[in-house]
Amino acid sequence: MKKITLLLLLILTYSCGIQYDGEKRLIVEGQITDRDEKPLSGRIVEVIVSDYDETDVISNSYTDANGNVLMIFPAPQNADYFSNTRISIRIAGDEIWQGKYLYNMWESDFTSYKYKLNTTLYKKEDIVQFNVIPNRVSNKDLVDVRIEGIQSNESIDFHPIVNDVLYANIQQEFKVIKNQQLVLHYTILNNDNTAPTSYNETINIGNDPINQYTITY
Amino acid sequence: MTQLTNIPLPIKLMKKYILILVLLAVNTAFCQDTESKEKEQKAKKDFRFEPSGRIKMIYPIQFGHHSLSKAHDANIGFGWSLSFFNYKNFRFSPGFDWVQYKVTDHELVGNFSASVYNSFHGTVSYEIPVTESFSVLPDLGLGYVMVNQKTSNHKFGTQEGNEIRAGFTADYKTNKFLTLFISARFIHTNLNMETDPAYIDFYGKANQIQLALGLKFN
Repeated sequence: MKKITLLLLLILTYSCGIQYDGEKRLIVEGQITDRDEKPLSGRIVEVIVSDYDETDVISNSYTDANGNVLMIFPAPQNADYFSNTRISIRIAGDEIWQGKYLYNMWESDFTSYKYKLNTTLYKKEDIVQFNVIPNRVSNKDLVDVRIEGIQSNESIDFHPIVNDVLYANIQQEFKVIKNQQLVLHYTILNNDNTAPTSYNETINIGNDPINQYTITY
Repeated sequence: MTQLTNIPLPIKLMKKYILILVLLAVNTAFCQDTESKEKEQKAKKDFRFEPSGRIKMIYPIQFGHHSLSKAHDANIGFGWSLSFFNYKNFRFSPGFDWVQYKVTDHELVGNFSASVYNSFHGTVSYEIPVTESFSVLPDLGLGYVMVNQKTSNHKFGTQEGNEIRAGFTADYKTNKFLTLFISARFIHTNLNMETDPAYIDFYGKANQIQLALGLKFN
């Protein structure tokens, strides 16, 4: 009987849901502009707090006439490496404008309790696909692929899981802005104890919805 | 009788003196008893056991540049206080206030519906009788504050702090058992807060004028 009572008490007193620190406030502020740095008004911005079981939209707002947004909200407890609680910022897209999703943030990603959300949104019609196609013809390995240029960055993982295997994280698909010159950086590992070789290629992105570059190694 | 007349004069005088002395001593003794009783009664009048309780409806008016003023609307709140002793018209009253503030600006405070202001306070008041049924009581007090941020089914943290309060109450005694009162007081609240320095005061301080209407049970 005592055990049952204790169990019932535990169930009754157990607090479900994401826990917040009522004595700490985090701030998201910044300006949202277009490609020409003109402010975008009326953009919906949300701050989302989540753990394995639950999701709270802890704050949401619209950008004002100057594209500015300011959101202040109670800090979730333990949004750090050691727990599952995470903070995300979502800028809603629509038929014309892309959306953005900044996710997997910790409290430490806020500097002095503040995250500066100065970001550029692109029109969906200005975004095209750029794919890197690995073509392996020898026992060499492609170990690094990066591009330099304007990307739409629709989702940004603040703390990606880094795999120990060198070439396991190679990104092959990029969303980039049309009508620009990209620089593609990649590195080939020769597997014969010689130093890896790095390459830089300039690529013209036009109006085609899909652009691709094949790396033969 | 014959014997008495035979008593010599000095002894007769002696007896008279003794009688006078005894009467004086008795009189003095009685006088002292009356004084001590008066003192006792006065002390009893100074310190009286007079239990009473107050219940009240509260309407807070938050003012200044802070979160409760700029991002909330106050609802009618409730409070109570108790008092047991009266010392020279001074009373100490522990009490509790409860006021719910509806969130009006979610961008400034977050997506929850209300901040609930709970105050556990102790107040010292001094009663100034104006007429037989009307009196005014200036008061001064300190309190411990908890502000719970919540929706109907989810808590979004608690903010703790303290408050200092000063004001007055006007009592109108309707009968031996019941008194109507109104009160007005200024309350300054300091709340614990960690955030960007530019916003510390906005979330960490509050000022209000608290108006109240209630009943006192004597």
